[in-house]
Amino acid sequence: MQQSAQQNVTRDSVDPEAVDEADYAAARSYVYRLFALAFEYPDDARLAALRTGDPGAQLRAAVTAIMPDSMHEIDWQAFNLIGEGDELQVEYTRLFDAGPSGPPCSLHEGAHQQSRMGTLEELVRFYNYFGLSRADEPNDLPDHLSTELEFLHYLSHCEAVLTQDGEDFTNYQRAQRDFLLRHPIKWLAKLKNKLVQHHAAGFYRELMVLLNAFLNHDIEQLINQVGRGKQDLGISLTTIDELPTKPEQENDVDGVL
Amino acid sequence: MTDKNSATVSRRTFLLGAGGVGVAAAGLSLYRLKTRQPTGRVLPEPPPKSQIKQIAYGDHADIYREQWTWDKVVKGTHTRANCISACSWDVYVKEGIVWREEQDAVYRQSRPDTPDFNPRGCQKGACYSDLQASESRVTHPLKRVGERGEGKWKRISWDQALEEIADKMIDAAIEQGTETIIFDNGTTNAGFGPETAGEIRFANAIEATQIDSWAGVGDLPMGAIQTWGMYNCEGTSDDWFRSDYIVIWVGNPSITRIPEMHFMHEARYRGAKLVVIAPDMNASTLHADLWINPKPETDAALGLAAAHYIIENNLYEADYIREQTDLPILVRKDTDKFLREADLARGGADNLFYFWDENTNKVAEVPGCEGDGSGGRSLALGKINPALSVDQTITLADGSQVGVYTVFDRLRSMLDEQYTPDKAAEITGLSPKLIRRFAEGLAKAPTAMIFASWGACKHYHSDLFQRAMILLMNLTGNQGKPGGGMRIAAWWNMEGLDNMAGHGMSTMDMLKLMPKAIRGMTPRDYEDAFRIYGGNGPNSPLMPFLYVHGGYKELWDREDMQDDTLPKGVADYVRQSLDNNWVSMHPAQDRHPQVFIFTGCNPLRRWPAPQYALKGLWPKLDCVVSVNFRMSTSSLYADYFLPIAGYYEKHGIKYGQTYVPYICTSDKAVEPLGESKTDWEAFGLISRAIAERAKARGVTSVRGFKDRSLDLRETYNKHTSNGDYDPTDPEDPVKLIDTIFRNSPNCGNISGQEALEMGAVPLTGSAPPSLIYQTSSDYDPNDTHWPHRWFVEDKVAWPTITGRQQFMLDHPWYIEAGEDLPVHKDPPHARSKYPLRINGGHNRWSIHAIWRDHKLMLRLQRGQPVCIMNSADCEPRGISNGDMARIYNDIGEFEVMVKVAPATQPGEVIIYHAWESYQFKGWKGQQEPVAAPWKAIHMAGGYGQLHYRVYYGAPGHAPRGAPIEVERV
Repeated sequence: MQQSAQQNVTRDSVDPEAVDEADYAAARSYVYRLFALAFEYPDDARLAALRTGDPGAQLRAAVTAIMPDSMHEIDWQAFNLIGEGDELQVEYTRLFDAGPSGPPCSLHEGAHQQSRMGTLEELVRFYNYFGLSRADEPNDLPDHLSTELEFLHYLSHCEAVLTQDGEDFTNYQRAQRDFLLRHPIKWLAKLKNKLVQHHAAGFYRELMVLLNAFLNHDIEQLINQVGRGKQDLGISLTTIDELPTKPEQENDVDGVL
Repeated sequence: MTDKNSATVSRRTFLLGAGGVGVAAAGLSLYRLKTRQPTGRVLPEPPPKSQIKQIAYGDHADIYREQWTWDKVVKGTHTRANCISACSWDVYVKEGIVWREEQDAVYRQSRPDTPDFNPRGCQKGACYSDLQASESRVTHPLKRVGERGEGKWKRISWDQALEEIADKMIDAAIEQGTETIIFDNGTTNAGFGPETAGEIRFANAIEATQIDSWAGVGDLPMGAIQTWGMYNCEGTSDDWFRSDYIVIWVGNPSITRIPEMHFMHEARYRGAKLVVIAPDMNASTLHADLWINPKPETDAALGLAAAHYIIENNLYEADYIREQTDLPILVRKDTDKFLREADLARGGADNLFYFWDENTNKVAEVPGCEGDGSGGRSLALGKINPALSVDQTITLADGSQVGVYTVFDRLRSMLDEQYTPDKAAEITGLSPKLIRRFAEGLAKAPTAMIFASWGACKHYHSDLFQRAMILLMNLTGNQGKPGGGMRIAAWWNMEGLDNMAGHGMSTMDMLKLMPKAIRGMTPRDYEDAFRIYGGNGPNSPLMPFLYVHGGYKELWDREDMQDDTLPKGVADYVRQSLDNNWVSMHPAQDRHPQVFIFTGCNPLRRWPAPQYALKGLWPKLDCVVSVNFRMSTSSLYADYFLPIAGYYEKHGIKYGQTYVPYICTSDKAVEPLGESKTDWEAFGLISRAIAERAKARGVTSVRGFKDRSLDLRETYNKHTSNGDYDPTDPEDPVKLIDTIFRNSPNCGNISGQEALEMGAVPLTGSAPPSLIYQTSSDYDPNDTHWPHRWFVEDKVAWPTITGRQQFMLDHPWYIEAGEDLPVHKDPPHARSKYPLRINGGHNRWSIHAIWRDHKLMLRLQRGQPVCIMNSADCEPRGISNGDMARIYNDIGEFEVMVKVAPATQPGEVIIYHAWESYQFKGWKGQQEPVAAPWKAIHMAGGYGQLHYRVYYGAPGHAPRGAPIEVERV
């Protein structure tokens, strides 16, 4: 699909299908941004915003637009369960911030992997490769879920812009595919289980269910478009096992161009 | 599965449903990431229309094509890990993250004939970068919102935390005075630089009670204090290489002195014998030429039996003990107390003692004793030839006559009676032949040393062990020799460290010391100065503090906790000591602690039976503040958690133990994670908040130390030395480090920046003694370093009442305890109904609780708390290797996995140190059944070296040997 879109694009004209592709990528980028924000600490400003119901509605609208068929599994009401007063802040801190030997449901990938430093290295390599670096604020380690989602927000945004401009966007699609498979998808199922195990509040439990569903959908789409790539991850996610077995695409960048 | 059509539908739905967000509207918003030059290959042609760079990406292998480079490499170390080694590391930084560290190898050889120190560092230091990034870090200020220990917190801002904490402290100050604000930093969990200076300045500025935990952690060698009037005795570890007979006694340096241990092994290559005295087959035992395994806590009996053998066989160094010990001092036969001038003349001094001079056949005053008329400065005998053995009659002031003999006579008689190798064999379980072999080997070795680590302080009768050990080192003339003597530990001093606290002695106090300073300060003079200095603030030794304020009176007053060899119970000794002001207690007994702020330490992990503190102390506290970089057991029971920078995230100076003749520094490699701040800034901010809140609330005067008026509005001015420092300035720590180094001639008066760049700053000379630095030898950069040369070579008097290494203590409490001479005694728990005893020690995989739950370290062990038991104890209880067991007594209990190993003696349950309580079921940690009754006579004072001052002379935590039973669960 991506190839056909690319073939139809010329530098002087914009194919309507390409615009559609761009919007789709932009929508995904938007969703990643919303997810990244949703896993930030619900400080007073964010808490007030959540109480309006707008962020939940935006997320629902955006995700439903992208993957309408899967939405029956989601308990949307959970996104309104903000609780009284500071309940959500307390819950966030209990789950994600602090606890004996660390929080029970860390939002840092390294906590769920064998090698923290190895994980961090690859993430920094990914970010640096695409021209990004860890921000001075909030000065968190680069394996925080929100950082990973923000990176996907960035890659999909680049894809959207390039698509709209009729440029080749497949580099960014391949990067998203690999990043998803090697990082969020690799550990978020574990986090989802931990949230259940630790009786997380419905807001975060359902948010994680939704995120997992979205990532599974997204990786499926990406593999449809650019193939599986040279992955040898040794992972056994159900979703990955069920991915379409499209023949390996040529990933020779120079050749594509 | 989604086909193209459905995807298209979904895209359009998105456009409709989201109100036509589109590419431009969706936009890019980065918060956690920022842009930079990509490392990926930017494709140049054709030029893109958009601002987005085309970056070549095939698959993930591409991101690995760029060679990994470091943004910088700085010198670092672990300044508040409370690790006694000081090791400099190269710390590798990229992207604001420390990724790895590598041992530095900059240390030079002390002598051509000794090995060097390179490289230094262990597996903990080698993975601190990982710990710094681990999930146990807390990076935001937290406030408790549930019950204490419930684990419910919420983030708050620093401003909110500081204001609320300051208000709680001011409330306490108004209600009961600032002494009810308790500050605790453990003991050596400190640095020599800004990382610790901030909290000292804070506590001093508000005149908070500071917990003196030196004895409280079980690190205070009271036997050394009783014998020497000082306790820090160690040199450089390369000096061990010069020993011919190394005895590891109550220690396990293979795992607790990892960077130093090679010197012992290397000494064996040149023919030294390595003897390990330990009940269990531990990691150090594996390297021994001779393993002596007495029954636990019978070490004094072994030492005294060896002393008996040495004396009986005339293997002792008579000249040495004549000069350096109290053994030739005369003792009245009627009272078994020293013969004093007060006995011989009305109004005579009670600190002037006598020899029997064989040259004149008369009594002679003991030079160097406290009352010798010249300030007890020199022990040089001059023309006196003290008799070691005496049988004379002396006429007293009242005209009566009394027989006298010497301490040596008393000692020999007691050894003959009670500690022959045959008799000691019954106590220790060793063969008499083995005891003789050990004694002979020790006595005949050209140079012998005893390495007795801090573990030698953690038994109820550790002082008796140590007195026996030091006796052996004296009889053999080894104390004060290279490669010889009793070794525990010692620190280097830096004169510039005075700048940490921001103030030193008052002018009046300085004037008092001026005459002594003019003629040259001796160790005795320094100890006087330290007593003045230590008395200038509210310091409370931990064990008495817990007894009075901590809810432990109920426990330690129990009948089974009393020492049945003493005529009085703990309560009587405490009362008498406090009444006599022998030991200080802050706050006073009629007040209660109201705020508890701790940093770097983990009291509810370490204190005996911590459930008593939770029940007895915590309810008294209106506010508990933990200042830490990680969530510890104790932090879980705090009301506020202030997140502190990791070791590589701040500037610091590692405290300098004498093992290596360098002062290690730590440059700031990266910024503190999240909202965490350096200790220097955090405590500065607390002081500032107190000052600001006091002003805002109109609080002008509260009760400070000893109820003196204190103006809390001046807190920040005092803290910052009237504005000399600004803790919020990121460069302020470097300024303090600069001041410290520039004022430290023994480190070359270099700049702070130079010191930070060097990482390991070589010592060039000595500094005067300090509260903790007392090796009593001048440092020579071209030699190894060993302690006590001033006394042995320069004939300076020891800071004891007799001016000598003193084996007889005729303090009334020691006499009534039967401990006026070193003896073996069973501890109180020997009569417990519980058949097994918990023993243990520090472990290989952590520094106390730090690293204890770190994944990389846990992989090297069983990965969870484990105890080690002998099969002889396991089989009757139906316990197999790997079973979980309940360890209990009537005080507490915990569950732990059992490792069955013949390396442990029957009767012993070994649990290595410092598992966090939360690593056990129900957060019941290994201290729960450990009552640790302490030795009440250590509250004694009013007698020469037997007194309390901060970091000196207090009853210690004695957790070893706790009686328990074990059952399989």
